[in-house]
Amino acid sequence: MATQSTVRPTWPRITAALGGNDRRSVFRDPLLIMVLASPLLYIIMVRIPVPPLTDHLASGYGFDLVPYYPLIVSSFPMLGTMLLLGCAGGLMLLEEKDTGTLHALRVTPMPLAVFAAYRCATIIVVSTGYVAAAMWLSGIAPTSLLPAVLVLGPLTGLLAIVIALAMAGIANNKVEGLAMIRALGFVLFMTPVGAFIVDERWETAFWLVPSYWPSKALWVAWDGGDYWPYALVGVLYSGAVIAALGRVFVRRAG
Amino acid sequence: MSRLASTIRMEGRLQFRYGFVYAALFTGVMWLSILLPIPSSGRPAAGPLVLFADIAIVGFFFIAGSVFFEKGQRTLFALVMTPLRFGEYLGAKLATLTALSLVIAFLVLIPAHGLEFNVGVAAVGIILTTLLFLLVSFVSTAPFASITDWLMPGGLVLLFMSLPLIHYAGLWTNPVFYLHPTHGSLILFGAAFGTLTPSPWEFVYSVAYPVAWIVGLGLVSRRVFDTYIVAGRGGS
Repeated sequence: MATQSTVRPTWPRITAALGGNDRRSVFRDPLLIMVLASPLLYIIMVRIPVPPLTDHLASGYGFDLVPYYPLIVSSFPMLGTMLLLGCAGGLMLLEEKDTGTLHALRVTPMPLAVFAAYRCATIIVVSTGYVAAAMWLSGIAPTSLLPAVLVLGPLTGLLAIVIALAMAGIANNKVEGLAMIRALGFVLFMTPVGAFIVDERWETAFWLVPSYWPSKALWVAWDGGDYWPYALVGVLYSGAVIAALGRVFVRRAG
Repeated sequence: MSRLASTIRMEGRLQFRYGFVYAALFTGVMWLSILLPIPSSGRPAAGPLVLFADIAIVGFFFIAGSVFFEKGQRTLFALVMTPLRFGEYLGAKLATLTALSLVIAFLVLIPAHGLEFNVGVAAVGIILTTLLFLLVSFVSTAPFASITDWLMPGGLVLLFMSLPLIHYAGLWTNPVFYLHPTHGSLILFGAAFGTLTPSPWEFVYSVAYPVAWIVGLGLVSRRVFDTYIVAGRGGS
């Protein structure tokens, strides 16, 4: 029987060990460098085209795009970040499953749950930074949204974890993961568009889709309303989905 | 059965197994649920955008994913040892994924638009656009070791391939867009739905220019396949 390690896995030790490893892999892995550079993508997709498009639609077709700005910001800087981080996270998890890294972790003193918690915490911190940066760089979001971003950022991170776990828990390999992201990403990205456009009476139809909640919270915050209830439901709902998917993932990875 | 036909059959079976077909069908049905509530007067404006920005690129991530998977599983190296020619290997992928886009496109277009659009022009547009996106994806995967490395550069490639939307939307109508490989796609889609009325030379351009790109990219594919995959550069 293996002797119990005398080094107890405390949080500072875990962060030091995994953080060091992640720092090294960030610079080794072109994906992560690109992910870190991705707020630039939102500048290209939102900041540059949206103002001229607004003028063009107004002068050419008499269509006012400004009321749709909250939808543009919730879709690209926020849900775009969610898709990118979720997809990257899911592919990483599938890779770890493929290469047996997760099995290797089981014989270390680090409990799998702690490893998972560390990964989730990283995603939440990174996504908060991203959503804040992407919204600021989008050039069309009011600065009054900033306090809300501190809540919406972590919520976006939770949704990214939902995507990552759904991919890693259900797909058998990275190719199936891609097929899943096509279907899942479409629903998560497009449903809030529907919720934004339809009459408020029909909005309850969108409650089941987890990405509705942060989107709705952002639209309410944009108008200076009380966004807390939506954010809170979003956190609880995503948390429940993560717990369920996490169990599936651990069962299938084991 | 010829080697090409059996490779196509094999490739088709794999795409069912990976779930590509189901994922594509699913998003097709989702598009219908978005398009059908739009009043029929507004649908022709949506048609070209749905085709260009989504349905023609269904295979963009799939072809890359399957190449990386085959590299990872080493089945690609086994294939290189067989008499299968590169043209047949790539041709089977292109044929199946283009067929997938074409099926999804008509699955969405016919319920949403009836036959109120030019089916032939739309079909030519879908085939050419899909082939361009697939080949660009295939070529762009070559230097990367894994799908996770390629994902973001792949996204940038996709963004670059979508640039003619700027011209189509009327934001910046510079003739330089005629040099872009997918500019003709939007002309064809616009013509199919009556949002654009191209002149005869623009029709010729919209078919001949993408075809020239497709042939060129086909030759480049062969080269990068030999350099990066057969010769083993770019990792596994």
